[in-house]
Amino acid sequence: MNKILFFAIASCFTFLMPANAQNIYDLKSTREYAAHLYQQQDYILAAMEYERLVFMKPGKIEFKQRLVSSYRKAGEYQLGINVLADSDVSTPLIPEYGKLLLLSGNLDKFHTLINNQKISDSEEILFLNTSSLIYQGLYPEASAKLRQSEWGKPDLQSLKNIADEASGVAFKCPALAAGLSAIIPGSGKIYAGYWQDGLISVLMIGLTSWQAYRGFNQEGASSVYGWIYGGFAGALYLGNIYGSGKAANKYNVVHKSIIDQKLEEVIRYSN
Amino acid sequence: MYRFNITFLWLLSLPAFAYPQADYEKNILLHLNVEKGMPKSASPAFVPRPSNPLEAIPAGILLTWYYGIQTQSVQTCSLLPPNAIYGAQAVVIQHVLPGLLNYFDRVQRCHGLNLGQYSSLPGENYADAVLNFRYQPVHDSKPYQ
Repeated sequence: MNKILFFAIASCFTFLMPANAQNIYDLKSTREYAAHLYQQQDYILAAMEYERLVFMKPGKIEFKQRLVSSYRKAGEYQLGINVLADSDVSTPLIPEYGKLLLLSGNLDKFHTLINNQKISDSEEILFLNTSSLIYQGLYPEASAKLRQSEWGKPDLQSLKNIADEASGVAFKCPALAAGLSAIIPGSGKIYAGYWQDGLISVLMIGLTSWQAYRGFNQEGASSVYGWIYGGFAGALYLGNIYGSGKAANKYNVVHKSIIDQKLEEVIRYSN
Repeated sequence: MYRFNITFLWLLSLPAFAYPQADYEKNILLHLNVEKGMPKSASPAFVPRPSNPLEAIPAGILLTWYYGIQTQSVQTCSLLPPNAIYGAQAVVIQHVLPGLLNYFDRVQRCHGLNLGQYSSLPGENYADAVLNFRYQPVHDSKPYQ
């Protein structure tokens, strides 16, 4: 009898359980879950949760800030820009917007944004300005701006390291490389850092020129052999001058892209 | 004699109009351009038809040389596309003078000493793992790259 009574009472309580169930989609739970995902660096899922929070509370800047930050850290720069482009960008969101514009390569819009706004956080504005200088290849200027040895913001230290490293890279002058190859074939390529190509060029041009010389020396100016090899030598010589300028340019593009990749990493994951 | 020369030059240019970009290269280009979302400045180019005889004739000569003579021997260059094809593409994409200069530069770069060089631009050396060749294509918007 007691058992029957116990089960009857217990089954009554089971009906009450749904009434106590937690609403996992309410503001508080969504906020906690989004913060958890953000902390776990699951930025795409965090952005989805913050999208919901922004929908629930459109006026709350903190949610919008976190949403844009999630998109930035997930590498979805355009989605972040779309969030901010629809509305007026208020002061706390300007650094985020600036970072997204830099990361998406939209420098004109970035300068307009920074020049027209007043941001109280001086380290934040310094971070944005020096990032822009590095992005434009003005490494000594960026390095000079970050001359101070200690920074409160750790991202500034990373930026300083990049600026210092980039200032030390000796970029090549394409005109000088071409000029060097015009004087001594292959030397422009050696100057541009591709010594193997320079060596092969000097050998190829030297050999074809020598063959042309042999032809003209034996049969005079009417030598077909001489003209064919002379033509080859001339074409290779001109190609080498052009290629030396190209090699210097390539050297610069490769080294700038390495610096830009490091810069992107710092801006993308900055706090 | 003059008419014969003109006809001969036109015949030489025909391969440039008939040249189909190899399927393997089209696949690589599609992979790089579409799936990787490469920036326009860095992306290798699809080859258009030549727009004038100045482009068609040198491109045709290079293609005739490649398909008629060079393919009869063992390929020694590790670069992809082969030099003559690269030259024909460069003449059409970057126009006659930069294209030919690029071709003669490429001939001098085609050797085994520079393995690992020119490898940091996006898309380059793509074919390494697939075909055991280094893919160094003609770039579309910046001939000097």
